[in-house]
Amino acid sequence: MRVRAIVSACCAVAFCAAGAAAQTPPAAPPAASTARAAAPAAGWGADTVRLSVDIGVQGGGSAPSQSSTLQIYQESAPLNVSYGTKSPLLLEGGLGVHVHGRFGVGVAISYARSKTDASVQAQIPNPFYFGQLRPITGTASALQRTEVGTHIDALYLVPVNDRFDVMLSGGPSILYVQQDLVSSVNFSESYPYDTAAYTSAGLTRVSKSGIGFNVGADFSWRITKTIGFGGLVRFTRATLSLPLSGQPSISTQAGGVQAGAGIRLLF
Amino acid sequence: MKWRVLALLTAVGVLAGVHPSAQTPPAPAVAQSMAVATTRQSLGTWDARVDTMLSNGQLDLSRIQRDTVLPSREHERLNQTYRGLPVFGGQIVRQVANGTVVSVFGRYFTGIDIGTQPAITAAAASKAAVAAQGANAVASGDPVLGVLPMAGSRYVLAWQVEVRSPWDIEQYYVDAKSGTVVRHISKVVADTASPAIGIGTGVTGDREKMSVNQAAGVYQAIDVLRPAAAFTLTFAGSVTRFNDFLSSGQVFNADIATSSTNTWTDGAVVDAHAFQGMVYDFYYKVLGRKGLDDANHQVTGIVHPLARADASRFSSTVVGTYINNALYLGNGYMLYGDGDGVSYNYMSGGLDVVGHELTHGVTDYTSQLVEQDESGALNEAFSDIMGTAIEFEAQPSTADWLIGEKVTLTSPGYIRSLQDPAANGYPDHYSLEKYIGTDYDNGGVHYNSTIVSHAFYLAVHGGTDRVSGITVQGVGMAKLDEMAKIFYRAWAFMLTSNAQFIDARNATLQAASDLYGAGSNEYTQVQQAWNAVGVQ
Repeated sequence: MRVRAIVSACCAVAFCAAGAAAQTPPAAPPAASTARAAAPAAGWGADTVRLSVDIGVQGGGSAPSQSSTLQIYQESAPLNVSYGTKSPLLLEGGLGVHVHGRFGVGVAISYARSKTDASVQAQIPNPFYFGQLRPITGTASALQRTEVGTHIDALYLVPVNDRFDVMLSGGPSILYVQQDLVSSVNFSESYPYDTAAYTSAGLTRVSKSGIGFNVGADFSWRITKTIGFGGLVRFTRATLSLPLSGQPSISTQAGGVQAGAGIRLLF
Repeated sequence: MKWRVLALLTAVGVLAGVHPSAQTPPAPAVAQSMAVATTRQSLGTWDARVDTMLSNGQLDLSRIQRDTVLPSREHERLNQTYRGLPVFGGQIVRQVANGTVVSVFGRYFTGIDIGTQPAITAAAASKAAVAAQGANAVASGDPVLGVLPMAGSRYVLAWQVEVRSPWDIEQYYVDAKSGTVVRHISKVVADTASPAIGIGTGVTGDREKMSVNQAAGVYQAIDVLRPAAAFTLTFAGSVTRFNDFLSSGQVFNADIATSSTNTWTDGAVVDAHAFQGMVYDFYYKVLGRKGLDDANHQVTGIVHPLARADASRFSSTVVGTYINNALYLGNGYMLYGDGDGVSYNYMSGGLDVVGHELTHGVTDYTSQLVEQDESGALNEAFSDIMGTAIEFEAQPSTADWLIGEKVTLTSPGYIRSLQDPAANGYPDHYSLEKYIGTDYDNGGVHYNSTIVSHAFYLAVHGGTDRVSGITVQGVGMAKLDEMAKIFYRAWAFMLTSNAQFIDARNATLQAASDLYGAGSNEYTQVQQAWNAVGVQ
């Protein structure tokens, strides 16, 4: 059986670097003419496994919207948090195996992490009187959100020319989200307690996994017989309910549009 | 330890949970302190150094403590000294196990180079500290001369003086050269205040928030969130305890009402405590007054002085005074009777009642209206007026112009009415004034008070006086606070102890003129209201 595979990966080191680095396109392939001379025909050819390492970004995500209630001074204190959105850096790796004809199967793992701010609005009860809520607003900074996706795909190869092909993919995804949520608010106040001022937010890191789907396309340009470069576009999505102790769970949509570029290794 | 109602000068430490110590550590940011924390490697060095300092007088063995957890261990507590004087805050603790030193911890100060001869005496230092603490303060114990580490790498030869005042104990440090206070530390608030907000069910089933203090394993009815400390005590209906209080004026730490959870169920305690706070809030927020004396005088309410169940055992005088009554005792003390359950409910259950009594305290610190004849009626009227205004401020959804409607169980269901005094047999016009110069009701102080309080009602709400037939438009309920300011200003700042009704009329008109102008509607309504009740 002839096997061909794809592996995509984002670089963790690059993830920790400045955000600007995320936007930097991959380096141009070296000596294209040389690679062209050594490249075999495109498609599930002699190679059976394709690996790739990609770095990119994940966009189109959906930040959770939190509307919950705290208990302060023996009374309910409404809390609303609007989490910011940010396109995180993406690191991805995967493996594809040729099965038959133009079809194959694969698995890919994506990793995305970002830090965003959240707008916090709360109504703080008066310590002495019921029903006298005092509004406070503020920002909770550097809330971390991490997404790890495991994508199990059916692959379909579309050869374009000797060096270039497109691998279409689709299948279920298991998406894991770890998110910092606002679980409490800290505020300052003084007698007569007619007003209160936001000082900070207490954060709780929660996590949840769920099953969703993904569809995507991988574009590969072979430089030599075993080395190439390419790009990846994938859309993946799962809806998760993040648990927050003592509060209603908070719905969030994991995934989004993933785009990256990197190297391809073909065996 | 005891303290007195009218002389709260001593021994309040226990009540506030103070833990006196021989040497209170000074505030942080002191000079050149060296932390001592031994490692296994440095233990021998430090042990030897401690021995050296002990031998040359730099350390003084204060005491040896037995380890209550590890019986084989002892802890030597060593105070730092400088030329025989204590260095405040310099202390080292050495742990010893069967003669072998296990650890050395602590903090001592280096680079001390000051003279040790004070320029002022201990008595002068005490006097300076007491003066700094203010009224009702007294020095406690003998001042201690020592070295006080200060910020900025310097040391001051200072007298340490403990000063006690009502509900507070302060450690003062007085510069022994200049006589100035260089530092003072409260030993009460910093050690014990742990505010918490509880919830309770009041006398009539109302839910109230309770500003309380959280102590070890218990919640205490001590309001530490408002500027003026407020305490609620309970005598639990003990005749012995109440008699002792009446004869000695003493109350105890154990009298503080407590709850094992922060959900309070004794309605008398709940309402007394919550309402005392509401009264403070009204005076502060509406009238700008800081408590009874405008200097955050502490407030103490006592509930269950005698048990309701024992009412039948007592004379009608005792029942009328201590069970079916609420009293202002002076110096910020209130007594709320249980009510006999037939005529009256627990007296602290009415916010207007609590406001009424505490307003007597305001009068005590201001006009000192004599509780006799017209001045006494003005005193009672002012308490009813403010009690009602407080009710409209804090309980607007249920407020009314009645006094005691929450605690009166028999017809007509209230004690007095500012709206319609005659409905309960009280006068609503000056022509109906009675009992002046008699012993009855101290010359009708309660009875005649409604002539004045009815004028307040007319000035705010408007209406027609039943006797004179004069109609007053009133400023309207939305401006109740404005009228309260006028009456408060007149009563607190303009009336004298023997003021008469006409004086109150003149004072309120002056207050209205000062606040809103002689041509203002407020002025007109005040004038019309007094005309309507016949005081002119």
